[in-house]
Amino acid sequence: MQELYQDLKLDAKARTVAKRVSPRLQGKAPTHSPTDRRGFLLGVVLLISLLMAVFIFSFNSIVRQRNTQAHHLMISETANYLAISGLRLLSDKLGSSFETTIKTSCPQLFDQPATSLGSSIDLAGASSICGNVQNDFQNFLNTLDELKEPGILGAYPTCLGMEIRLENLQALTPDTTPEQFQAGRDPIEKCGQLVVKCTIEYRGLKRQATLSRQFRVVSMIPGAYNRFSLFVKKTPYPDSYNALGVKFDGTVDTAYAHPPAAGKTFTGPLFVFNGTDSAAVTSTIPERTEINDKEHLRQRGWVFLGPAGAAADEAVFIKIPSGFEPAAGGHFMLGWPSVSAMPVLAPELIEDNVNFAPQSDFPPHEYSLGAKFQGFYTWEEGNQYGAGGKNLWPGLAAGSSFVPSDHLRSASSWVYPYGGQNKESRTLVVGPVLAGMLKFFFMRGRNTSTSEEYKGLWTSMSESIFNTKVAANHTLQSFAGMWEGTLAPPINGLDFFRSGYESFKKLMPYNSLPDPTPPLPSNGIAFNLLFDFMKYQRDVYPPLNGVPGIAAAAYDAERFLVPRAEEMRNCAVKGLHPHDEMGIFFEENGQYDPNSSPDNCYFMGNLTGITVYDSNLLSNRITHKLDLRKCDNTAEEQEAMEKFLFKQVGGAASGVNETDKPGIFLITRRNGVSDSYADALVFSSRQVKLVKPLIVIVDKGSLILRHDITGTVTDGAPATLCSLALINGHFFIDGAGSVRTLHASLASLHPASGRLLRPPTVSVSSPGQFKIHGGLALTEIGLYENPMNDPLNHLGTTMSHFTEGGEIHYNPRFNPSGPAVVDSRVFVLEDTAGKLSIEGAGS
Amino acid sequence: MSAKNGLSMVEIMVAVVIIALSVGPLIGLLSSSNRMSNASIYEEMAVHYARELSDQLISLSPKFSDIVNDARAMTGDSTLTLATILNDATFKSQLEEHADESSALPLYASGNQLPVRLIISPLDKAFSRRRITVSEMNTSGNSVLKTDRYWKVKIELAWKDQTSGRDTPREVVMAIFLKEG
Repeated sequence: MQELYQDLKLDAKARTVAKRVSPRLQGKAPTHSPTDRRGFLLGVVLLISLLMAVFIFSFNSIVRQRNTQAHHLMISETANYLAISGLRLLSDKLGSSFETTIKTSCPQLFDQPATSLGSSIDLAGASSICGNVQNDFQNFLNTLDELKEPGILGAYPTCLGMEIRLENLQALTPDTTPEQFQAGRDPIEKCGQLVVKCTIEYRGLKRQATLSRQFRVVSMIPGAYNRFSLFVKKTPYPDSYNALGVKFDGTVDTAYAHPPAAGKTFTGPLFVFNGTDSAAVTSTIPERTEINDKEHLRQRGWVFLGPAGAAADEAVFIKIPSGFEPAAGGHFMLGWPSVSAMPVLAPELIEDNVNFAPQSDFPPHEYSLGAKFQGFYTWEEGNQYGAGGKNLWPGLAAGSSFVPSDHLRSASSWVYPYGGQNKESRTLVVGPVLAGMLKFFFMRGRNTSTSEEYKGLWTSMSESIFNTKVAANHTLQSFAGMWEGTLAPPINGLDFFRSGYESFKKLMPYNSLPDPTPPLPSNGIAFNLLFDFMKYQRDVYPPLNGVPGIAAAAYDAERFLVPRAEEMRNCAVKGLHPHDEMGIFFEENGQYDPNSSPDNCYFMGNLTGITVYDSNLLSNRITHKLDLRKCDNTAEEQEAMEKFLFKQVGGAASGVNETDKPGIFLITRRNGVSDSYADALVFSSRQVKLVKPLIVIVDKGSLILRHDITGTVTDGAPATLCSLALINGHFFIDGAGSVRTLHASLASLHPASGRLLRPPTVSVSSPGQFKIHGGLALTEIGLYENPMNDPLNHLGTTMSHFTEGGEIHYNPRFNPSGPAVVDSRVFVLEDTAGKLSIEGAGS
Repeated sequence: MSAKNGLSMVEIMVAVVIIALSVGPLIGLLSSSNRMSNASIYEEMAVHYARELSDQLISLSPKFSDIVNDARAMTGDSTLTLATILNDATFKSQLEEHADESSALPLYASGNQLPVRLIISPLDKAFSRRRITVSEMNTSGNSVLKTDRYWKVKIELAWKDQTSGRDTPREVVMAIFLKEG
C-alpha cells in the first residue's frame, strides 16, 4: 500500500512535470501555480546574499589592497627619502671635500686626457669614500628609533650601499687649431657625468636613489698670462717703468721729477718677486748645472711688457738698479757667470762688513774707484757681448746680424739672476724690452800706513756724505764726470742717456752703450720696476777678497751664459725672446711642435693678442653662472653675487666671507653697466678667506676690492688659487688700511680698459699700496699720464695712484709649466640640478 | 488557499534566518572595509603632507647656512641654529593649523619672520598633528660626515579616524637628514 502510494505520488509529480513541459512542447506558454513559488524566495534570498557577499568581499579585498598600497606607499616614501638623504650627503661630500679623495683614488682624472681614460670610471672600488659615507650614514639611520621595525629584533633602516661612477668623459678643448692654442689649451680638462647611488632597505623594501650630475675637471689657471708675474699688454711710453727717483743708498728721492710725466713725482716702487722659494747658498752646495739651473728658471714667473708707443711698435726701456738699500736690496750678479758649457754660478752675497768693509774715511788712503755693470748678459758664439752686441736700434744699419725688427722682439731675455734678501727671483722678460743694468761702484786701494789692501762698496752711505767725499777729493771728482761721447749712429732715447734728465745718465744701458766710463750716482736714479734683488748666502765662493778685483779688465771680456731654455732655441737672435710667436709648454721634453705634440702645448701665439675673453676663460670652462641682468641696481647685484660666491662665517661685525665652492664663475651683469667706479661691484663686503679655489669672471664693469683676500700660505705662496678676471673693467682698491693684501691673480686685459686704480675720490685712510700674491695682468700699468696720447688718461694710472708702491709676488702654483699644475686642476660639480631617480633596488 | 498560494512560514523563517546570518557579517565587513578605506586615505594624505615638507627642506638645504646667517644677523643671536628656526613654536603652531587652502608659511627666528617660506597644503580636520622636529646629529663616531653640521628632521603626521572609534591616533613618521650649508 505504502509502495502504491509512493508510486502514485511519483506518478502525480511526473504528471505535473509533464503538464508543465507539455505546453512548451505543444507551443503554449507555461502556467505557474502558486505552489510553484515555493523555494523561489529562498533562492532569491540566497542569491542576493551571495551577491552581497561577493560585492562586500570584493570591496573588502579592494580596500585591503588599497590599504596595503597606502602602507606600502608610506614605507616606500620613507625609504625613498632616506635614500635621497644618503645620496645628498654623499653628493655634498663629493662637492665639498671630494677633491682630495678623488685625486688620491683616481689621479689619472687630473693628469691624463679624456681620450685615454675610456668612457667611464668606477670609483667605488678605488675609493674608500663610498664605504665610509655608508658607515657614517648608517650611524645616522641607527638613531631613527621611530622607524625601527616592531618586535624585539626590529631593525633600523639599512644603507645597503653607495656607488660613484664617472661616465661620458669628454675633453673640454679637443681642438688643436692655432686659434685654440692662442686661447690656451689644457688637454686634461674634461667634463662628464657623476653618477651617485645610494641603496636603502626599510621594512623589507629596497630603494635606490640615483643622482646624475654634470661635472668638470678644470684648471684654476685662468690663461696664458698666468705664466707671468707681471703681464702688461700695452706700454704707452718707452720709459713707463722708470719714473721713480731713488738715491744711491736706495732711499726714494721724493724730489725727483720724471720729465716725461710733466714733472710728476712718484714715491713708491713696484717690486716684482718672481718666485717664493729662498736659497741659502753655502760653500757646500754644488754649483748649479746648466740643466738644473734651467729647471730652476722654469719655475719662476716671467714678465711680459708689451710694446711701447701709440702704434705698439717701439721698444721699452727698463733701468734696473742694484738696490743698495740693505733691507730690501742686495747685489745681484757680483759673481760672474761661467762660460758656456760650464756650470752656472749662483750669485754671490757680498757681506759688506766682511769682504767689503765700508770705508767712512777716505783721505788717509790711496784708492781707486771703479764700477761694474751688474745684471744679465747674454752670450752666443761669436758675440761675446750677447744681446748687447746686437744692433738692435732703429736707424742702425750696420752689423751683419742686424734685423730691423729685432728691437721690437726683445733685447732682454733672462733677467738673471735677481732676488730679494731671502728670495731669489730670476725671470724671463718677454717683450721688446731694453734692460739697462746699474753699475755698482766700488773702491779698492791700499792703506798707506799698513800697506793693507782694502776693497769697499758704498753701502748705506747717504747722498750728502758721499757728495761731501766727492767734493773733497779730486780723484773721486774725476770719476764723477758724466759720460760724454759721440754716439754714432744716433740711437733712440739718446736724450735720455746723454742730455736728458740726470737720473738716466747714471743708469746707462749696457746693451746699447758699453762705455767703460763709470758715471757716478749721486743724486739718485730713476726706476720704478724692481725685480726683487737678492742676497744669496754663500760662504767663500767666489773668493772676492782674493781675486784681482771685479773691475779687472780681464773680466770685461768674460763671456756670460744665459740659460738657453728650450723656449728660446728657435729664436733668431740668441738670448732674445720673441713675444709675437712664443709657446708655453707643460713639460720640457723636446716636443714643442703643437701640430705633432699638441698635448704638451699650453699656449702658442702672440702675447699681445691675449684678452681675458678669449684667453681660455670662456671656452667651455664655465662651471657656474650667475645672471644679474634682472637686477635693478648695483646694490642688488652686489648682494646676489656675494651670496653666490661666499658663505659668511662669524658674526656680522667680525665675520669673513669664505669661498663656498670651487669652480669657474661667470657673473653676467645688467646691461648698460660702465667701467666707472660708480657702477663697479664690490667683490666682498667682508674680508675674504680663501677655502675653495675659484675663478671669478665679470663680463662687464669694474670690481672694487674693499677688503683683503687671503688664504692659507704653504711653501711661501697661497695654497688656494683665486683669480679675478674682468672682461671689460678696472680693479679699484678701496677700503681701509694702508696696504691691501690680495692672494689672487688679477687680470683685466680689454683694449679699452684694464687698470689697477684707487677710487676717484681717494680717502686718506684707503690703501696706497698693494701686495699681490699671485700675479697681475693688466692692459696698462703706466706710470704717468699724457693727455694727448693716453686714451685712459681720465682714469689715472696704476703707479701714480699707489703712492706707496706695490709688490707682486708670483704664485708658482699658477705656472702651467710648473710641478703644481696637476694640483691646479679641480673637480667641480656644476650648479645644474642633475637628474634624480628612485627605483627599486631588486633583491 | 493560503496554504497553497503563499509562502510557508517555514520558508520565510528560513529566508529571514539566512539573511540575518549573512547580512550581519557582511555589514560588519563593509564597515570594516570602510574604516580601512578611510585609514588608507588618511595614510596617503599623511604621506603627501610629509613629502611636501621633505621636498622643500631638501631643496632648501644648500641655503640653510645663508638662512641661519640671515637669522643671526636679524636677531643678533649668534648661537642660533637651524634647529632653533625649524623648532620655532610659532612656526610649529602655524604648521598644525587647519586652513581651507594652501598657504606659504614663513620661518621664524626668535619671533622675527624670516624671508623664507614653506608652501603647505591645508591640513585636513582629521589630522591632529603636522610637526617638524629637528635635532643635531652626533658625528663623533663618523669618519667622513663629521666636519659639517648634520640634522635629523623628523616629520610627524597624526590623525584620528572618527569612524573607527579608536581613541589612539594613527601616525606616519618620516625622517630625512640634512647638511647645513
